[in-house]
Amino acid sequence: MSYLQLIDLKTHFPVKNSEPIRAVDGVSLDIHKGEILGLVGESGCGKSTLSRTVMQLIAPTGGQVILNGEELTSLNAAEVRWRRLDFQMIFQDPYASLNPRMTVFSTLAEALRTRQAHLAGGELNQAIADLMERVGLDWRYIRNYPHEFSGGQRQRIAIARALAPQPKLIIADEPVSALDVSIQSQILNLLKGLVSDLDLTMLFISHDLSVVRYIADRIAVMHFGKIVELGASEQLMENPRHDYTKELLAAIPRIRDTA
Amino acid sequence: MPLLEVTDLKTHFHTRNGIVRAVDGVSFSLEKGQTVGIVGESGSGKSVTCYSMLGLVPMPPGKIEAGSAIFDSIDLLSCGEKVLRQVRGKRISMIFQDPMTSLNPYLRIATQITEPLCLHMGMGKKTALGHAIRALGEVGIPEPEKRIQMYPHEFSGGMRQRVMIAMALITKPEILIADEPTTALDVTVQKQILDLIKDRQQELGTAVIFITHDLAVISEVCDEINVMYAGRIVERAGANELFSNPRHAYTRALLKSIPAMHAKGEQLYTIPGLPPDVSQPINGCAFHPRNELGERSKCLTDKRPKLKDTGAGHWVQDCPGCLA
Repeated sequence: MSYLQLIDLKTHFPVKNSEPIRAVDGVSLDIHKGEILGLVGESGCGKSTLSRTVMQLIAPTGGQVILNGEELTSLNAAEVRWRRLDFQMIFQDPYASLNPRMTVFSTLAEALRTRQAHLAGGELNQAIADLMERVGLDWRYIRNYPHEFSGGQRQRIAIARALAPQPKLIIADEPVSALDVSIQSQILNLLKGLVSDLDLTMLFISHDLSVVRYIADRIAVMHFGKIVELGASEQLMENPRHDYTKELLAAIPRIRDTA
Repeated sequence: MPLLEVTDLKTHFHTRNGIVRAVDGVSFSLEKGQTVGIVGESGSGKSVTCYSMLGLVPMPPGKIEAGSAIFDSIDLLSCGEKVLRQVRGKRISMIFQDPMTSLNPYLRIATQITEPLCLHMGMGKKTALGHAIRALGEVGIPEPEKRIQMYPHEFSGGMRQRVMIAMALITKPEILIADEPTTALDVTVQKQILDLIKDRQQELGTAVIFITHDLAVISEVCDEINVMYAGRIVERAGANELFSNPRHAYTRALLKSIPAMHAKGEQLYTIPGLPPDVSQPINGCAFHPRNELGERSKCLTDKRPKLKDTGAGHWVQDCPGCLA
């Protein structure tokens, strides 16, 4: 059964004296429970607008977003805010997405209290320590500020924050693009482990097909606001049907064949 | 004689938290028309190496402690600002990772791209503009006569990087330093930009120093590759040789952690621990605490390993633990 269903979703941005920009133009997708769906495409193809529309951060121009049998597009703002606990986002740039004036403790405490408002004292400390352990951060850094961490560690804080409200769906928007190769592999392992341990569903957005191939169960290729190809990741990588997918695959830099 | 020869370059930063040894004894050379890659993680000193050669390291806190960089019998490290100004932007140019922050948002492309022509070649404004329009056309910008009058924000990321390349190559430099030129770009645009750099290089005979953390990119463009770790080169070899026969434990670990090298579902290899804190003096082998693929117990702990030639131009740090 599909957990998240997008039906003919459209997000257009009006332009004065001109045609609107069709950032998302009729996307239909099903994401199954426990699945990692990779969404690839180049900048400007509408990947991020799509994720923001699913998050209800932007109102869609048309179509429906159905999460677990409930239509999100018809809910009012307060209800959306409550539902949003079930779906959390991880952004590309952990430098920009963490509040520089909040310690790890206050960042995570705020996120935890969205679901459990009365959490305090020892219980709160315990919950935060658990979260930090979960994402591989040393709890001794609990009082540190984001600037005191490296890029990879910051991304771990962002992941911990996303996990705090016990979400069911995670939208990861280019979570490893800003990281070094060696750190990238740590974060990918972490995300993959979390999805299977916590029974999460994930929409993984990236322009890097080699990363998506590794982590995703299925891949959707987006081009000019539309999904042009969707398939099991190995199959799509080995046997691309659409010209644009072929073009994307051909553009991946490869390490020269090492026998 | 090589076009550029860097010997034992040391660039340190004197900060409140101690001396940061960003570059700690780097030597390499560059032949005419050759492409040399420098690969390493953030903080390994690859950018500082190049900034040092062009006098772009802020001093203080930075200080070039030792070394020489001989380019056409000029030592770039000691020649002084006046001489350096004749070289920088004319005979050696540089392109950066983020073309948005390296172009001046207040100035039209025309103003920025003609500047090196007027300054270094003594051209008049009109002639320079003609040259600039031709240069933009050569890097694949459509309608260059119109686009040249626009501002940087009116260009996409890929187009901006093309403008940067046109600007860097307009004086036909002998060396182009490309510092992560495609890291901020998409795969498809990345390919276009890499192809463009290669094309222009072949046409002009420019030598390129290519800095990146992406091993796949570097394998596609470089003749020779230097792997940097904690301010030093740990391995150097021709591109084919390095990827088919990596010797140093760090190089092997880096190659092993690339997602493309793994079957689906397999756990990705990760290098344990973190890069060393270069503000603390490192006595033995810098990779020692993270060495898993070699034999950690055999790593040097009393002196820093030196690069040694293992034959056929393949150099590697002589640490028994990392070579095991």
